Amino acid sequence: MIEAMIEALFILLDPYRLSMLFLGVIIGIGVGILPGLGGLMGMALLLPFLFGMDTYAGIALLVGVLAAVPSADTFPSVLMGIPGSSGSQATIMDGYPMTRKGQAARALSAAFLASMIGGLIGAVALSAVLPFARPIVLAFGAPELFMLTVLGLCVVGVLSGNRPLKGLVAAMAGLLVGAVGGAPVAPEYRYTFGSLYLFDGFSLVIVALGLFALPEIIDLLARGGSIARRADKGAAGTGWWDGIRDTMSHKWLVVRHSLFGVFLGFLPGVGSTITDWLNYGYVVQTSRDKENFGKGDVRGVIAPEAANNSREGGALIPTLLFGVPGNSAMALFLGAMLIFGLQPGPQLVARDLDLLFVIVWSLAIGNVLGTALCLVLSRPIAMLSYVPFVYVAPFVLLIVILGAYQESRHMADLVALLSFGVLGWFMKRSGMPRPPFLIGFILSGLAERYLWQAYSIYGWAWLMHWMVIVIAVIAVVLVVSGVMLKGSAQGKPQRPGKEDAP
Amino acid sequence: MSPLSRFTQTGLVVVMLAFFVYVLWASQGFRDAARIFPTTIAVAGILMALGELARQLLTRFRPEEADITDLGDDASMDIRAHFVTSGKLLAWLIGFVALVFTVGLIPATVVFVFAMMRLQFATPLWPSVLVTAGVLAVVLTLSRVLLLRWPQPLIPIPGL
Repeated sequence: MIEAMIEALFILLDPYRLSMLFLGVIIGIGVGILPGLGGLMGMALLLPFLFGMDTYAGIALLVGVLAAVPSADTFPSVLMGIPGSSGSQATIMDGYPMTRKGQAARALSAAFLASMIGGLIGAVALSAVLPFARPIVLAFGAPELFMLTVLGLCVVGVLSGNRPLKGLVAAMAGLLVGAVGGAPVAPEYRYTFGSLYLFDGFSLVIVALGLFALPEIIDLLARGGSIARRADKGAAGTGWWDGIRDTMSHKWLVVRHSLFGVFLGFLPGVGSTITDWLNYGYVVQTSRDKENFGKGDVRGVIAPEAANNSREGGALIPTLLFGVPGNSAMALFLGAMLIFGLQPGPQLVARDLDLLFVIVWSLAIGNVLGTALCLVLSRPIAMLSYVPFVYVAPFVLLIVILGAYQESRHMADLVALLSFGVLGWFMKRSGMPRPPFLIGFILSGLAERYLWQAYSIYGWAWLMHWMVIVIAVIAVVLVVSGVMLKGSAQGKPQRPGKEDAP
Repeated sequence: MSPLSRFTQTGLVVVMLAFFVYVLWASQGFRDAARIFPTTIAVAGILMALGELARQLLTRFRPEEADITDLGDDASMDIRAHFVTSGKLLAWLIGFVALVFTVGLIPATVVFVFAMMRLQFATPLWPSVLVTAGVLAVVLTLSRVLLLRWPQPLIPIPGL
């Protein structure tokens, strides 16, 4: 294990791979700072360019994005009072009041340091789990893996939106759209209408770009103006060291919430929003002096920021070891692994341990790099979000279209992109969560293969396997507790200064 | 949630229900191995879609908060105006793809970016020219660095 760890470090220290990690961090910071564009968008934009890339470099590039977004999305939350991504909503509660009190620099540096420590704890947790997970994961057969897929889909479907049934409908639709094309277990083409283009099914890149990138671009353009609508330019101010001292003096708070973040990240479907708010609620509930929360208490910044970085390490555990992505960004990461010919799950632990540790190292180094860059680039980055989106949109749009066309270099790629864009926009507007659709689409082939293997080996008797029953019980418990968790997260306090919110 | 958003959510679930029914019907002609999965999922999908429609029917007169999980809705926005503007932007995109198909990516990009900025967003002339030039530079640079290929147009313009 130790040898694999050291070997992975040397693999990653290759200048090309390290530069890809660095590029991923820069892209992660870029999308993290722009509200509405999160890690999912960053990864979706990168997917088309992964084909033909060195596997380790490609993985480092994506992990760089994952590691940097939770740090960078702190900027708009603290400086403008708008969430940079869904995982930085709770930071607004005390971060933005600190800015209004002229303590933005203190809030930012405290958040960045807490993020970095949280990210490192997430990486350590991921590597600590690997030795224990290996024998367990290898004991899983087709029936158990199918049930895990179902478990992941159910929980993600239930927890992704406010209405569990809508999430589950989206997950079912995603599974069926993923079934278009050649059947994985029989010589049969399904739902192709005789079109050669559909024989291979829809491309992950096109589905992801259509569902997530196009609706965001259209919505941001339709709303008009710049991404940030506030005029608090130059609000960062001074007090960088104060924030660092704050985080160091609350080191146990950082550790506690980082570990809680890892645990929440490990549970499929507990998204960054829930993680963020639960940690905020937790720190408020467990603090003796509560009166400053919501008015600019630095602990209200440190706790959610530590947790939202550490959860990335936790979310990678089910993604890598069981092939069950915990959220849509992890689903894309899973898709990227498939592009490289890597099959997440038991085989990965058995055959590609060095790759797993490359991911761990990338996460750790990406966190440190991302935090350092955020600190250095604070001022110019804060100005980016004041650029009217109409000037940014053509660049993003062209990259999306170019990326989609490179898939099969067929005009139908663009038609499919637009079609999924329309679907994604309607899903967004009607409150039907898109992550379950994407996760269903990605897991479709895998789920069908596991189901068929289980059925052809055991008939329907596989339903009576003890581990299948245990997973089914866990699914029920997680779904029920998830609905309750969602209820408590929805009962969160209103953000301060809402009347000023853009 | 606005009436328009309610109408959209019901419409979308109905479309998905129709999709599940079609998948179920079409899957009956497949071999066993290819049929089990879509049949199982489609049946589950139909039940869930019907359940969701029933939920919407039962709560149709109750106030319902917009689902802002992915920042999809905003209480302060004019939903109808947003739908109209989004429809126009979608039409621009369809026009762009049609233009790419007809005259090729480079000319289509120049026309689309400049025209959309000037006509749809009333952006001043020079910023529009600069952004168009910038986008063109990015497209050309990406094509050189990453060896990307463009769609073959129906009416190729010599030299482009």
